[in-house]
Amino acid sequence: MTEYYTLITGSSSGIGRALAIECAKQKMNVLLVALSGTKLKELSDYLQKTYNVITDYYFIDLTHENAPHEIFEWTKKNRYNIDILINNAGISCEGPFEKFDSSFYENIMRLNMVALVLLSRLFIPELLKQPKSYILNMGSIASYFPMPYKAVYSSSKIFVYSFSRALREELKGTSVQVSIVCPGPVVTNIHTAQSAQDKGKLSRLMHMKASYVAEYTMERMLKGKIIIRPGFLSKVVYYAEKFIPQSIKQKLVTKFFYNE
Amino acid sequence: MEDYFTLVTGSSSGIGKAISIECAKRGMNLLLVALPGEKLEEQAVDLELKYKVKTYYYHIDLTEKDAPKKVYDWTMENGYKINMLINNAGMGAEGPFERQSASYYNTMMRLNMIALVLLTRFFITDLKKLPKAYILNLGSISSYFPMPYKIVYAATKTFVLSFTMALREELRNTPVKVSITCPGPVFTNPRIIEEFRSKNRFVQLFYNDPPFVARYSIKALMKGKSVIRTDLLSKVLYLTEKILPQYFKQKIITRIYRKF
Repeated sequence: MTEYYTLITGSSSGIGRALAIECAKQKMNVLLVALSGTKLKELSDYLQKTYNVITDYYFIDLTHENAPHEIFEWTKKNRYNIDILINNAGISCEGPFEKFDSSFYENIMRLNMVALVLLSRLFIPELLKQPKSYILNMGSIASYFPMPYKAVYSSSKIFVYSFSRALREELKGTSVQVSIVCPGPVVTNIHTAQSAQDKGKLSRLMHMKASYVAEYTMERMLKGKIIIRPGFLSKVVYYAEKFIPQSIKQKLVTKFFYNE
Repeated sequence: MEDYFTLVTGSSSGIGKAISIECAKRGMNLLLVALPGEKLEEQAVDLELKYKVKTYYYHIDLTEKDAPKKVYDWTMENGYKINMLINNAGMGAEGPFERQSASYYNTMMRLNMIALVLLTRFFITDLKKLPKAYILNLGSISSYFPMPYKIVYAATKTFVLSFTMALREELRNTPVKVSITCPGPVFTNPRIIEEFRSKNRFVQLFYNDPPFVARYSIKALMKGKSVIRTDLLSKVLYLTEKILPQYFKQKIITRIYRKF
């Protein structure tokens, strides 16, 4: 009897962590990947004890050139068969383009896009061999249209959206289902909670709990939904995007998301 | 009187070469950047003689570590002030996702996206100080839709479109105009020429030659056009993109692509 595993990147906190817990709840074995220094071991032990599933973890910096290969090798060495790949790890940025330096942008691009594509490419041959398998990619409301003051971040999420949709189409008829989840703002840590408080009532209302996003997402992913939109804001922005002219969209974004 | 330069990446062939010629024709001094092994010295001498402009060149692999910084440092060290940055260098691939290796996709993403963003980041501060400055990014009709059988390439071009739009909006009140050009199929390398020969007469009509694309693009760039649609196919696909629901878009694109 083959044991299957769900691999989740960026699983030490936020949505990644919530997804790990949700997967364990659903009796899936979980492989946790995150930066060193994070509480992966504690999470791994907790999931094992609480939900009685097999877990393991691997510390790595996914912005390193060879990281995706290293993760792949680690799963091969331990004979872990993956049937769900969750590309969750990502970083965001907010502010004028010149606010951040080149190495920061390089890291965003390597983490949000390159690692995601490479991991998908490395695991697909094996995913195709399973009776049923899934790839879940982390998008964002920022996937819907380009955002001034979040140029690199929103473009990276638009990339993920495009990549996921095209991959889904190519893999039609195979056992692999590709989905993308586009959550709105989520309270993932102290920092975002504070920022939500600062931006006022509307902002607080729009923020969701990570556990809610995880539960909502897993349910729909397993049903084969292509684009998963947890929360009110995600749905509203998606539909509004279709009707509002580009120029107004951009101005609204600048106003709503970026306070000078 | 200050001498300004136009910097063109991937200037040794295809659209980049045509753009270099077009800029030289307009009296712009040139900085040519291309891979080691490309005949930049000959190209530089040729342009200088024919069009009486100053032309310097730099060999580098833009996908290597720190390459964008090295290009920037080279211009600084030599006192070359640029007022136009043309992010043309890029590479493509065709076929099912699994046809290319992870390493190939890594290189493509480094060239099409990371180098582009980083070069923009390095030069932007100086560009903003000038009375007038331009950035032209190379897009494609692939920028408009997710494309099965060109998954990563199309996603990188969609990234470039998004990044260009977001940055353009941010720089609205500055002297820097950021634009993107989205040509349809162009004769840029032997592979495309071969592909062209295999198509029927009707489809062949949609192919363009680099000088046409270059001329149209530079003209539109200097007029301040944000998204430059050089040819009929580009214009038609853009309109289609606006009107059709996503579902149909996907189906049509896959079919058009298979035919093309």
